[in-house]
Amino acid sequence: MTHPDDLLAGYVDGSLSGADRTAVDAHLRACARCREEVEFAGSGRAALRRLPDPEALDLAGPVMARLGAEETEAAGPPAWYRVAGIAAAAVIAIAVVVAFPKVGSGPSDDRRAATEDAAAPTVGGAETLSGLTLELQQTDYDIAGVQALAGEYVGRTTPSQTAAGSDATAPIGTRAQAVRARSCVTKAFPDFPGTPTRLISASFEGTPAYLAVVLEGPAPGQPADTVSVWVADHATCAPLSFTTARI
Amino acid sequence: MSEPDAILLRRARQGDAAAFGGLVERHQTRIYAVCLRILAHPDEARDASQEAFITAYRKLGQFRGDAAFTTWLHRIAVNACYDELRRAKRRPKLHATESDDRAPEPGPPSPDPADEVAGTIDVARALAEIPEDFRVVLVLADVEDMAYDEIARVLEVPVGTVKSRVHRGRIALAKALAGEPGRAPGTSEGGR
Repeated sequence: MTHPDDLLAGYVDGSLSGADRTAVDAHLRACARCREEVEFAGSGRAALRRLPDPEALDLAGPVMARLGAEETEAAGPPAWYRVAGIAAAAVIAIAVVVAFPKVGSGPSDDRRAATEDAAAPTVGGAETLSGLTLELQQTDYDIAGVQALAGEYVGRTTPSQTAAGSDATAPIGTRAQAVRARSCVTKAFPDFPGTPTRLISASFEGTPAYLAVVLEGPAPGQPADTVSVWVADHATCAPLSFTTARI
Repeated sequence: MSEPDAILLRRARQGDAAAFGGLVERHQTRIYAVCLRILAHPDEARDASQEAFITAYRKLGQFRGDAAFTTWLHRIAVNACYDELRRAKRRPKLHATESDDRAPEPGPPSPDPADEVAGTIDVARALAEIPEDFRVVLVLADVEDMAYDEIARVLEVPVGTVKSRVHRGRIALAKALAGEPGRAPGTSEGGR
């Protein structure tokens, strides 16, 4: 007698139907071995179905912390487009491309530039990114949202270099990511002042984007009287949006 | 957030760590459940789950999108479990002559608190006693409710092999629960 072994699993859990099910029914009437197997298998499945869901746990926290630590250590973006920067001395840095698979069009040159920038953060001026962080938000901004972001600073009499309206609950990117964000916004806007008060990774009308908030006074050293928000495409570093407001 | 996996994946591949964090949060419960039922130890399951997500992050650039993200992620998680099982087998030998404070491998697996509440410790322990290949397909089929063809894609084996392992695995589990010692009869795969 040929046993329908390949059909019995589906027979037991109900996924078998139609002619196949009818055929198994007929076989079972004549085959004690298969009847016994189906009985055991049904019992085994029923036991498994009684298993409760395990207690909830947070894996995202430790996973992201570990990835963040690894990225900080590598001082570069994620592995699939990582370039390695090797500092030969405290001031002189040499970036060596060890792997650069294409992940799409556009961002390659900028990513390389950002990482080189990370290896030599003082290039281009005295200002550095020390203390500046990249907020990782899941917000999808539109123009009204960008204006609202600028509006957070309106009416503040003593805006400081700290991110006054920053989302304290948002995760923070690595320093290399912050460097890349600033580099991207600078590339998008030739007249970008280059000294953002706040950097955000989010999206703009569905497109992953960087947002830079800048506070400026009428002259260097004077209190800020203007806030501007600059929005650049995360991948291509093209300009997406801009707004400004009097504080 | 209700963004589809595909959107979060696209953002994650562009370097958006928060998007990947969203994927972890969305899938962590299911992946941990799979690892817990395969490994039977909460701590090992937690380690394997974390390792699976770390591996997934590193391999995001290799994900071609011709399979569902969940299928791909389950494949990585199952492989992480197999790695953990291999490590667990080596562990007693590695530590047999050492006098460190590491406890010897316990006989029965440590239960998940939810199992204690539900009174299903015996089922979890019986599951841990049956052959690994059977255990894996049973977890995917009867705990995760995954279809046979998807299990076949996760494990990269023919769907007939999955059906055979599921059937033999259920029988083996039932016999283990009934207290029959050793490997239950009828648990060979018969050429599948």
